[in-house]
Parts: sequence; C-alpha cells; structure tokens
Amino acid sequence: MSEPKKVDRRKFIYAGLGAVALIAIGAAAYVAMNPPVVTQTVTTSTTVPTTSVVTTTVPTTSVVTTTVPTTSVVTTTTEILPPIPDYSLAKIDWKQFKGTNINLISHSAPQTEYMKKRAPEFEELTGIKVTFDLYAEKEYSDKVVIAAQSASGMYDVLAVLPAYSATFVMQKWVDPVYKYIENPKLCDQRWYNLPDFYDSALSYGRFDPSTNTFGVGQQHMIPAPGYLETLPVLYYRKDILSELGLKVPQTFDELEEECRIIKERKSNIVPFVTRGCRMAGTWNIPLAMIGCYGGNFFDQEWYPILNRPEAIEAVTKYVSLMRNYGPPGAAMYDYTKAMELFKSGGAAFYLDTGNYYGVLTDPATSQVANNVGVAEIPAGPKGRKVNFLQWSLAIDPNSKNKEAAWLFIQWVTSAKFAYELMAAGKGPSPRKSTYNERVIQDKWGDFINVVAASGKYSQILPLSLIAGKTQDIFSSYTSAAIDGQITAEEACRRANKEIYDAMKAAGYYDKPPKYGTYNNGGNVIPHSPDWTP
Amino acid sequence: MIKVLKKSSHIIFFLPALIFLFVGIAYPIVWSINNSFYQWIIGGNPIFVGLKNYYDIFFGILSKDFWYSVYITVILTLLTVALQLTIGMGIALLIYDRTQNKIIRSIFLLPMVIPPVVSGTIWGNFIYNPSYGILNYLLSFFGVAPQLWTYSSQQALPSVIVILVWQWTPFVVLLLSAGLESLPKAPMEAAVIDGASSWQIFWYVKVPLLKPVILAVTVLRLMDTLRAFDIIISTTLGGPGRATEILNIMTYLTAFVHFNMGVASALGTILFTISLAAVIIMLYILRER
Repeated sequence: MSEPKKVDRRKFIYAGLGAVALIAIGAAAYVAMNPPVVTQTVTTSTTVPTTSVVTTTVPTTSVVTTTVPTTSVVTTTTEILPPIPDYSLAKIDWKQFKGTNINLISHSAPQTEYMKKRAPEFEELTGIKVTFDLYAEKEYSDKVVIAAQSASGMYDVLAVLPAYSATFVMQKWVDPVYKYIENPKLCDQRWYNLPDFYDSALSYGRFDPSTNTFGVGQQHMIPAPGYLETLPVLYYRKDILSELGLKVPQTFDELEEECRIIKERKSNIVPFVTRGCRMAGTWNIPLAMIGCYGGNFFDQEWYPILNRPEAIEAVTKYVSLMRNYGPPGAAMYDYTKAMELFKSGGAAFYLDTGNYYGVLTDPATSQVANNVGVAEIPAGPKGRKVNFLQWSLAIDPNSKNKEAAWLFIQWVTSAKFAYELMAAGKGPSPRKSTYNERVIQDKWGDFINVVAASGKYSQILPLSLIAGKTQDIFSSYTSAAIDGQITAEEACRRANKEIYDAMKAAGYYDKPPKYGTYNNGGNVIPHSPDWTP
Repeated sequence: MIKVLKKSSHIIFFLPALIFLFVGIAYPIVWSINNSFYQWIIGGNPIFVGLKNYYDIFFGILSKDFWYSVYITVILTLLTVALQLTIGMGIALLIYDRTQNKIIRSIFLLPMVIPPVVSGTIWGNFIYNPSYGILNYLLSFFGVAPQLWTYSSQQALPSVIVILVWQWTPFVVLLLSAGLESLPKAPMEAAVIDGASSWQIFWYVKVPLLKPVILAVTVLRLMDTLRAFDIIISTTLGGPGRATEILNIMTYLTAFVHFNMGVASALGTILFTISLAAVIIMLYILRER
C-alpha cells in the first residue's frame, strides 16, 4: 500500500525539481538573450561610426558644393524657399541614422494618431522606425513622469503637457534641443525656420539655466504640431443670438447681460458654460479673466497676488457667470461635460479651448455644427489676455538614439507637417506660416482670425516648479465658490494664502533667490513692499 | 544530494510565494516608510528631514487638509460599511433559504463584477448628471425637483456612498447567505420549540453563530472602503471643492499632481497604520470570548 505512495511523492518532488530546473533554464535563456541586445547596441554604435564615415564623405562633397556656392553665392541666397518647404529641401542627410528604432510616449489624441498614421512616411524618408505608445491622458501623465523620473531611457521622444513644461525642463528631464538645432549636420536652420513658431508657443520649451528661469533662454523643447491651444475662445450659437437680436458680446459685462436675457427668454437653454471643476485645466479660464481685469497670478517675485482687487473682481465675475447662468452642478463641469452640453444644443455661450472648433463644427459629432460661431475672449476693464497652451516634444536625456529622435522631432514639427496636420483638420498649428495658406483659411474659417488676434495678447500659464499643486489649490477654491460653499473673494484670499505657503516650502522666497523672476508674457506686476499673503 | 533536496523541498516550493511577498509587499512598504522621512519633490534630490513630514501633516501647514480628509474618510467608511452590512444581512436573510436562490444570487452579484472605474463613470456621467442623468429624469415622474447629486458639496458624499453600497453589498450578501446556509439547524429548531419569535431567533441564535462570518465581512469591507479610490476618482476626483477628498485621494493628489513624494509616502504610511489599527480593534471587539 505504502509502496506506490512513496513513488508518487518522489515523482512529485522530481516533477517539482524539474519545474524549477525549467524555470532556471528559462531564466538562463532570458539572461543569455540579453547579450545579443547589448551586441545589437554595439553594432549600432559601430554603424554610427560608419555613417559618420559616410558623413565625412558628405562633407567632402559638401566641400565641393561650398566651393561651387562661393562662385555662385548669389544663386544660393536668391534661392528662396517656399513658405512651406518640402522635406526634401532640407539640406541634411535624412538617412544618417538608418535602421534605428525610437519610441515615443504621448496621450492618444487626433494629433498623435495622425502622427502615428504618417510615421511610415518618415520611416521611408529616414529609415528610422518610430513606435508610438499612446495612452489616455490621465494614464499618460502618470506614466511620463515615472518614465522621466526613473531615467530608464525607455522612451526617446517625450510629449510634454503644457502644465508639466516647467517641471520637465527645470528638473533636466529633457535633453536641450538647441544643441541639435545648432548642429548643421542635424538641422538645416533655414529650412526649419524656428522664428516661424509663435513666441508664446516657444516659451513653453525655453529655459535659462544660469538664472534658473523657465520661459526665457535657450530652446529645450519644441512646440508639437497641432497643439497650439488658445484658451479660452468664446463659442456662441448664431441661431440663438439672431433669434433674440443679440450681438456677439465684446466684454464680460455684455456677456453677463446677454446671459440674463437668454435666461429670461429661453428657459430650456443654459446661457453659459465653461470649466468649473477642480483640476482638469480649469484654472485656464479664471487665469485669462484675471489677465483681462489687469491682474496676474504671481507678481514679479513669485508672490501670489490673487488677493488683489483685480483678481477678486475677475474671479467674482467668473463665479457669478457659472453660478447664475451656468448648468446645474457647474462646480463639477470639466471640459468634456461642458463640450457635451454645448454640442448637444444645451448651451448658448461656451468659453473654452480653441482646439474644439473642429469638433464643434463637424456635423458628424455636433448637433449644432452649422450654428456655431467663434469669437475672441470678451474683454475686461483692462482689455484682453488669453492663455496660449502648447504641448512640446522633447528628447529624453537617457535615450540612446538622441540624434534619431531629433530627426523625428524636426520632421514632425516642420512647417510642412504642421500645415498638413492642420489641413487634415486635426489641430491648430503653432507656426505662423500655416495660417497664410488658402486651404487652411477655407477649412478653419473664423477660427483663424481668432487665433491671429489672440497671438497679439497671449500669455503662458504661471508655471512654477509646483504648477500642479498651485493649479489644484486654486481650482479647488474656485470650484467651491461655484458650488456656493464660500464666496469668490474668500476663495481668492484662501487660495492666495495656501499658494504662498506652498511656494515658500518649494524655496521660491529663499535668499539669495533660487529662481529667476516671474514673467508669463502677461501683465507685469512689480513686487509691492506692503504685500500680504 | 537528493536526500537534502527532499528535506528542503518545502522551502523550494515556498520560494515563489516568499519572493512575491518580499518584492510585492514587504519591500514597497519599507521603501515607502523610508521615503516618508525625506523631503522629496519628484525630480529633486531627497533630503532627510526626519519627522518633519509627519509634523506638517499632523500640526503644520498640511494639518487642516489632513484632518478634514480624515473626517471625510471616517464618515464615508463608517456609513458605507454599516449600510452594506445592514442591507446585506437583510437581503441574505431573504434569499438564503429559497429554492431559486442561485438565480437570484447571480443577479445580485452583477454590480460586483463591473469594474469600479466603469461603474463610477456610469454613475457620475449618466445617472447622477443633473442635466441629462437618468436619476433626475426618473424622479421627475414623482414630482421630485432635480437634484445635484455628486455635483454639489452637500450631496456628493452621500451620493458616493450610494455607489459604494450598490457596488459592494452583493459581496456581503454572498458571504452572509453562505454563512446562513451552513448554520446547524438544531439550535434554531430548539428555539422554535421554546417559543422564540423569529426576531429572537435571529438576534440570539443566528447572529451569535454567524459572528465569525460577520467579523470577516466587516474587516474586509472596512479595509476596502478605507482604500476606496477608483469610484471617487472616476466620479468626483475629490470635489466639488474638497467635499469627497478622502485620505487616499489626498495621497494620490500629493504624489501625482503635487509631485511631493515625501509627504505622499508619509500619508500612505498613516493610512496603512489607520487600516491596521482599525482591523486590530475590530478583531478585539468581535473576538471569540
């Protein structure tokens, strides 16, 4: 009886040992598989010298060409590039990193999906294969921070959220792109035409390490195509305004007055909607309004000035518009809910990002497509201010294929690609040249005028190293004010105090100053000696 | 050789579980506790600051937010678990002895199989939405004025509790009804003969017998609710204002929005300690005498 049992147990143990052995062999095989990867990188690094040999031969030919130009200098200078030059006109060797693979992380959006769709053309041009890792925005934003923080070099190209821009460049999570732009082997500056970008868009990638100032200095990241976000613009329903005999409001007071009329005469329509919830980029709306009322988020020395009269007046107007004329539960409205409401015909005015123009005017996605008008942000007592938001593309400093990554960034942020992306209706270009094209003017209509006008009074977000926290604090209080828990003035004062504490803890008031002065391109408010938190 | 292996074979078989325990649980806990003693904004260099993070949380600049979150967490947890247990017990008593209970039980289980993020999104966007949500539409037939639900600070917390109760009561029902079915019949028959009412049978016979099951369910639900995160993040994200910012949400925002890993680790450690303490207290109260 006990005999077979014994054998069973032994067999069992042997089977277990066998399994362990299999795992061990598997692990050994896996470890053994790694060296080929290493040798692969070795071979790529050996191919780099060979290409550099090729490039050294290129210079010899370019020596020939330079000798030719010296005689025909006139021909090269008179050779005028078209406003939107083709990729083939760039005087660089697109094929110099042939056979490289690069990885890109971004969120999934019409723009990035379009880039992914076009990537095979880039591969054909350069022989570089681009793998896209696209996630939902929330997932992406957690992942990209972890990827940058872990310094793994897992990704070569990073898409950087506007709100993260300061953090990424100041923490040195990106390899400065100016090095690549200045390298004639990697960038044809005349063809690439950096000044063609809107200045506010470029600011998101600028950093001056000597004074530790974000927004000025050398270019560390490049504006991503299709991502120039004018925030906010005013969408309105043409049919409702003409039915009630109203004009497009030019000031916030006019807007409020028209909302009152709409509320009285059309009870089934929500007069006004915008973002009101905590987070989700809500601060963009009151920030622009504070600008229109002559204020700013920080003074020149990074002290929050939300407790000054102009900020309180602006936030009071914002809260009153949302509380009195907004949808029920306005304190929980993020951009999706607000857009859904407007798209389904439920609202008359909608203050939000210019990026939605395409969606709102597309009959396939919007019930009011033919009746949507777009206008500049209404003016406050001190004129207009609007936020330009800009996603950027950056190179991971731990990437092993930085030059190849740069070639991709150069291709995808070129005037040609920005134009094609906008012509395909995927998003507004950060390059001025795009807006002169007939195709774009026909397709985007009024929107172009709004962006062009906004470019004259644009500012960027108040991005400190702790921008995420300041945004959370500010929007949690404005959301509470819309909800009715506190008044707008209380919201401003309490947010101001809390933001001051957070900025202090982050070392913004250290002596000697750790960071350069604050300048977001908006109203410049000097630090007052009688400032109080 | 084989003899040695034979004797130590149990260790070999334990190894995967041990490795998992160490890599997946013990190491992160120790690492996180260690981080909580550092001032560490993501990207910067961690600076050792001792107990400063804890001081800031309990008494310093973060104390107001922290105690508010604790208050919200306690209210949410107590109400949710109490409701889940009461309703769950009621349903379990109704269905445990019926012949068709298998079908009924499967129907009751449905909410539990929906991923919380999905149910949060459905409730937040389609049921509670004050403008086009189903709930206000249905209530309008009874003449109830439209309510704001998760969209206002007064109603957000109760509304979230309703989702939590809806989602996890089936779990309580499942365990309690299984427990009820496994009870011995003799004590109940004896009680009937002695002339006990059905309430007396429930309270003096069934509940004491069920105590181990109730204990297990309470502990499980308590721990789960303290960590309730997915439903809140997908419905209110801690808002409006800070109306539903439980400790877990505060920890998440501190880590991934404010990038403050030191304070977030300290908050995580505190939450861990609170859960542990709550479980120990529960075990003590409901222990077998």
